[in-house]
Amino acid sequence: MGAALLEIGAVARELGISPSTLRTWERRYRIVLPERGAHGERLYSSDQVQILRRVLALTRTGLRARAAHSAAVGPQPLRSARVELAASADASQLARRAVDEVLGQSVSEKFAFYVRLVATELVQNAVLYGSDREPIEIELKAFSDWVDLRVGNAGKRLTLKSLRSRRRQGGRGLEIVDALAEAWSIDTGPFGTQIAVRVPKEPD
Amino acid sequence: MPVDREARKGANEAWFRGLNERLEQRAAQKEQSDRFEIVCECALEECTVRIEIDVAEYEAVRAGAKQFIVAPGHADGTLERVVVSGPRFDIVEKFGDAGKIAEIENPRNGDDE
Repeated sequence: MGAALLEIGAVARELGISPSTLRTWERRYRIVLPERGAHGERLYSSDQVQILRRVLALTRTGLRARAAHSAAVGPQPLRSARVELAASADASQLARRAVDEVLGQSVSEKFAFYVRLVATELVQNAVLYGSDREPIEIELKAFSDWVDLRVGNAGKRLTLKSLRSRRRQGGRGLEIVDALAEAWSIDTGPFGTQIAVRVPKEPD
Repeated sequence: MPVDREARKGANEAWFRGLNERLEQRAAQKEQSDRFEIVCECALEECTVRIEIDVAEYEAVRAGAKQFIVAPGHADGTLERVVVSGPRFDIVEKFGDAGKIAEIENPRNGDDE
């Protein structure tokens, strides 16, 4: 939003390919669909240019354009959602509902139970330690073999050390997340914390 | 797949037990203490109570496929009876459909005796 968009000529120059190649990739393989300007001109975002750069690098290793595009963008989620919740007592319940809406009937009840559990832990942490004036943001992406869950909240920096010490004082840790996740990460700073978790369909 | 309410409660408890098995494994890997923390294995999915338990206590409960560890007062009389009551936790034993689910979902099925 608000970021500069590049026209096709500028993108082509930056990548060292012709504009017609970009148009062909778009038409034949649906590789990057740029926005259109007021006069119908193609406008590429910086994310799209990054994808094109990766596609180009992969084609130079011998991959065909379509395969290069698949490799460049990685697996796409089957379903996804992004919701904002007020930092309140019922946030966990709403998070569980969001999980159910994304997962639907496509997974086992057991797996959905564990994903809801992870979402509950993360959201309760966000309610406990985050700002109560800013919403909690949840992003869910369901892939064929796993679910990616990201929970973000505004507020002070939250480190693993502080999580542990606060747990001793009645707060919550991330043991459940650790036990159920294939991988997780915490990105925290003075303006908030983001925790990203990947829950595999068959953990361990 | 659990279809009715009691079966669903039984499944919740079994899945909490599955999680606790992983928490025990992680505690064993850390080897910091004989005591570790598990989640309450009651029927309520929203329950967030943690229970501190010794490895020996935990293993004694796990010896019975129908036995579960719940916070005091969390037993559900429609699917389980309290067999041991203590200050930190109660041990319950499932009956009926919940008992069958507990046996089917037992993560230690196939373990050597």
